[in-house]
Formats: sequence, structure tokens, C-alpha cells
Amino acid sequence: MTWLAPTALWIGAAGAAATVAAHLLVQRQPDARALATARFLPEGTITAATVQRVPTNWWWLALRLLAVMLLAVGAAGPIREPTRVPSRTLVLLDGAAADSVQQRVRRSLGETDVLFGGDSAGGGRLSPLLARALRARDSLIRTTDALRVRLISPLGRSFFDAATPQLRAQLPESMSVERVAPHPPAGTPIRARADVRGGPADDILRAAYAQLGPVDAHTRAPVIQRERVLSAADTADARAGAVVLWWPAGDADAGTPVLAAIRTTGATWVAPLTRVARPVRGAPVAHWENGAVAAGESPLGAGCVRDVAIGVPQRGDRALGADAAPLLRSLLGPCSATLDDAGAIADSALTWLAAAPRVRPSAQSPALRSVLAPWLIGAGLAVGVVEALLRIRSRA
Amino acid sequence: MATHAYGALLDALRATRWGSLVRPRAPLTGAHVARRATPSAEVTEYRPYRQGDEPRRIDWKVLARTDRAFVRLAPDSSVTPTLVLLDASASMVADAPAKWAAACGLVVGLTAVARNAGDPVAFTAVSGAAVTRLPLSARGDALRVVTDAVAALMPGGQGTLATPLERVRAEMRIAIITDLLGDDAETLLTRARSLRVQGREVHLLHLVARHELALDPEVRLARDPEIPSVVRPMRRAEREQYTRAFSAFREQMRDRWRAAGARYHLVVDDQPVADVVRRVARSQR
Repeated sequence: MTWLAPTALWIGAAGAAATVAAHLLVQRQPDARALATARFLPEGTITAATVQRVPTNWWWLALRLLAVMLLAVGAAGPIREPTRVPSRTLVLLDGAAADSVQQRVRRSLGETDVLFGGDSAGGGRLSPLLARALRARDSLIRTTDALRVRLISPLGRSFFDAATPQLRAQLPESMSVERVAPHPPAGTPIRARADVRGGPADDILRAAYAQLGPVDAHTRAPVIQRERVLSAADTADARAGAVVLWWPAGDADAGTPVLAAIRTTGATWVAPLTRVARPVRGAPVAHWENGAVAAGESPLGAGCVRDVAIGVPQRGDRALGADAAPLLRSLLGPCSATLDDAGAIADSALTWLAAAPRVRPSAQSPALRSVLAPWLIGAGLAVGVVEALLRIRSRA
Repeated sequence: MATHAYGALLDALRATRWGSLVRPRAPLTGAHVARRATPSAEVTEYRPYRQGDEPRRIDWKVLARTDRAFVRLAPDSSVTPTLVLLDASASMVADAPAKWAAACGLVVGLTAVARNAGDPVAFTAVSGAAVTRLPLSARGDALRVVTDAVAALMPGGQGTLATPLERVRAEMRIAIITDLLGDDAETLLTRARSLRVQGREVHLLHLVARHELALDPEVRLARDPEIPSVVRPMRRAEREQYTRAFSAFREQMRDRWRAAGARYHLVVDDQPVADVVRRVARSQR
């Protein structure tokens, strides 16, 4: 049992003491002294307050004390307080985390910890987790002295959305962020040779990829389309999860090859290449040495399409060299989406997520209501009315 | 012997005589000159012999010289029977021991000065329904008897002084000691006026306490000892009204008793009793 307004109890105690004091103070006539000539005094009344050791009018005193105490207790707002725990951790588990990670997190949960997420719903997004944590926090904060928030997620790029900052600002606690491994891509990884479609029969890239041999693929073998347009089969393959490398063979004739450098994630190739002057679709995945985009990726279904604007001369064997293999293999790497954006967000960018918001929400704890308070106050008022009626009746 | 308590008073009044204001009509042998002369060896005047006079009272020498019969007359001395009537009601003693002590002292003092003149003294005290009555006594221990009776008194209730006065038959000097606060004050005055008309000597000793004249400022509420229902506040305004009302009462009593022919003496309880008694005794002259 606790009180919403303990001050009312003190005020009630003061009121009770005043009531008892009032019953100790008695207004009565002072002691009269015999005076033989008292008849010559004019008639009148006189009273004086005297203090007694024992209160008078016990029943009245009990009635008034009852009214005062009921009002005080009612105003204090008694509520039944559940058992409080010293600390509690809200664990926000990203469903995109690896199964082994999720199992480890579940095993490490304390008795008082509360787990949010860890299921397919909202997996890979923080906003739903934050929303669920905010709703639960209002009830948990009543029974918890210290509330902590722990975020366990691969922290992919798609983990955040436009609502994330606002939701994070509603959660006043600081947050510990733990980056974990993501789910492995769905399906069974395979190694397969790239399927080079279109283009001349003596295409240098066909030869290069043939020389490259099988490469790691998600679920389907990568496709290299050397025509100027993508075919329906290419699109179907991309939707099915394949990496479609749209690398028109005609780009090699768009200009004069010059010595240039191509850089992708983890690979760089320096060779005489033709810069293709056309816009590249999708997010950049390869750049020229001067920063110009050399290749872009557009997600499509479970896979993606990579638009490569790099003219590789058909003559010569530079594409068959060992220095070209990493770039060629890199261009056939898994789609960014299937990688679940792992490592897309730098740790430094997560500082705002871990820190407590500067402006805390105005209402940290919800307004509590005492169920008994209205009844107690009503009973106190009723007793007061009864006392008044009895007093009037006794005077009458 | 209660007289020991009044030793100083009696000593102060040893030489005081209470003269008679009215000459007794039927004199007994005493210290006062009687209203009527009687045949005596001490000649003061002669009057012709009348039928019925004793022949032995005829002055034979005058008869021989003048051939006329005269009877020798001489003034006779008499006594004045004195009744001391004491109001022993509650108002005389309530919260005022000095007032009651003064009343008792007055009884003893007046008895003493009356006895100094050889007068027989009777004493009556009225205390509620109880009446203490001592008959006329000219014995030597009359003063002691009165003193013992006063000491034995238990004052209280409301005294009715007019009733004992109805029994007064003889030519008596009556001294009434009261505060005039009884219900029968008017009856008492009427009875006193009647006694004066009958030629009796009436002295009223109106006894008031000092604290009745100047109210105690510490007291906030007063209660009438004789009428418990009379309870009055004593604030400043009430005190001023009281002073005016009580003063008017005293003046009214003085004027009315004097108009009735009585000797009115206002006595405050802190006055020396001997002085008061002397003043009463001197009032005859």
C-alpha cells in the first residue's frame, strides 16, 4: 500500500490533532465567586476557554475524527503498489539477428528482463521495437527502480526509418547497442558459373568469367547480360534471387580505351578501359578513379540488377589477367539487400541511438488513480454531513 | 469562653455607655432617666395631692405651712431593654468572613455597651429558618451568653428579620444588624416604622463588605449566595453599572430608614468595630 499524495496524511493528522485540541478546549462560564450584592450587576453571560486534560464529548470526537481521517486518507489516494524490482532491462532483439544470437539472448535473459522482438514481425526494423517498448515502459516503470534498454541487432541500413528518431526521443533511458551477426541469406548457398548471355561469341568477358570458374551465389547462378537490353529471363532470374550483371558489350566501342582504375568493395583493377558516357542506374557499387560511378545496383525481387558502364576492350587479354579476377568476382557478389545491410551503418553514427534524449518526455510516468480515494472522500463527507445534522438536532 | 476573642473590643468599650434616646414609660430601676417622675425622697418638684395618692407621700411640712396638700415628686432612673437583632443569612458570610466577623463584633460590642448602662439585653439571630433567641437578661453573664450564642451561629439561608420584630412588646431599644439584602427588606422597614411610631428606639446598622463597594477586578463572574440562579458577569461595563446601582441602593435605604425615624448607620466591614459602636452609642446625644 502506498499513497499518491502522502502530504494529505500529514494534513489529516494535523486536522485530527486540531479536532482533539478543540475538544480539550471548553467554552464555559468561569468559576463564579459568591457576591452578596450580585443582584446589582446587570444580567449577561460570559464564557471563557478552559483546557481540560481529558477530551469532552467522546462520541462527537470520534465522529469528527472519523470524518477527518476518511477525508485525509481519501485525499492521500491509497493505491496497492506491486513489488518493485531494483532494475529491469528491456531487450530489443532484432528479428534479423542470427538464430544463434537470438538463442543466446533468450538464455541470458534475467527474471525481470523483458524481451521485445526476436520474431518475424518487424524483423529488421527498429521503429516497431521502439513502439512496443514505449507501450510496455509505462507499466514497467511503476514497478522498477532502474530501467535499462538493450538493443541487439545487426544494425542494417534498413533497420532505421523516418519514425525511428521520434520514437527514440520518447524513450528517456539510454540504450546499450550490441551489433550481432545477421541471418544468413535464405536458401542454400551455391557455387555456380556465371551465365553469360548475348554478346559476341568471342566475348572477352565470356572468356574471363569462364576462366574465373564457379563463384559464390545466393540461390541462383549469376547472370551476365551482354546485350543492350535485359531480357524477360534476366528479370525473372533477378526476381528469383540471381545477380544480373547488365554489362552491354557495345560499351567497349563507345570510346577510346584509356588507362583507368575501377574500384569496388575489396577490389581494384587498373587497365585500359573505355569510359561509357551514360547514366548508371541504381546505387553505386563501383567507381572510376575520379569518383565517377562505374556500376550501380538496383534491387529487383530477391535479387538485383547491376548496371555496369565499363567498356572492356575485346582485343587484348587484360580481362583475363589475374588482376582482373577480383573485380570480376566482386561485381558478381551478393546483392546488398540479401546481405541485410550488414555493416552499412558506422558505429559512430549510432551514438545518438545509445545516448538518452536531451529532451525527456513531459509525462514519464502515467497518471495514477486511486480506486479507493473517491469512496473514502465520499464516506468522509457523509460522516461530516451526519455530524452536522446531529449537531443541529441536538441544539434544537 | 468566646468573650476571649473579643477582649480587645470589650476593653475598648469599657467606658462606653449606650444612652437611651427615648425615656422609658414604665421605668425599672436603672441608669436612664425615666419619662415619668415618681414620688421619691429626692425632691425635684411638687404637685397637688390627688385622690389615690398614697397619704405617706404628702409633704406634711408644706401642708402645715400652706394648709394645702402637696405630694413630693422626684425623677426616677430606669433601664432600657435592648434587643440586638442579627441577620445571619448567607449574604452576611458568603465569601466575606470580614463581614460576618464585623457583624459578630457589633453584636458583642452593642451588648457590652448596653450592659455597661445596666440595660437588659435580648439577642435574636435569624439564619434561614433557624432563629436563635435569647430573652432579656440583666444578669452578669448576659454578655457571655450572647457571645457564646454568636459563636455558635451557623449563618446561611435567607433571614426574615421582620418576624422577630413582631414579637417586640416591651419598650425596647432595637438594634438591627443587617446588609438589607434579604427579601423582607421592605417588610422590615415597615415594621421598623411602626415601632418608631410606637415610641421605640430603632437603630439600623447597614453592614456592607469592602469588596462589595470596590469589586475585585480578578473576579469575572459573581453568584448570589442566597439566590443561586443569579449569576452575573463582572466586566468593566457591568462593574460601572454595579457601582451606580449599589450606591443608589445604599442612598435609598439611608433616606427611607431615616424617614422612618430610625437611626441609620452605614458600616463597612473593615472599619474598627469599637469606633462603630461608639458612634452608635453617641448617636443618642
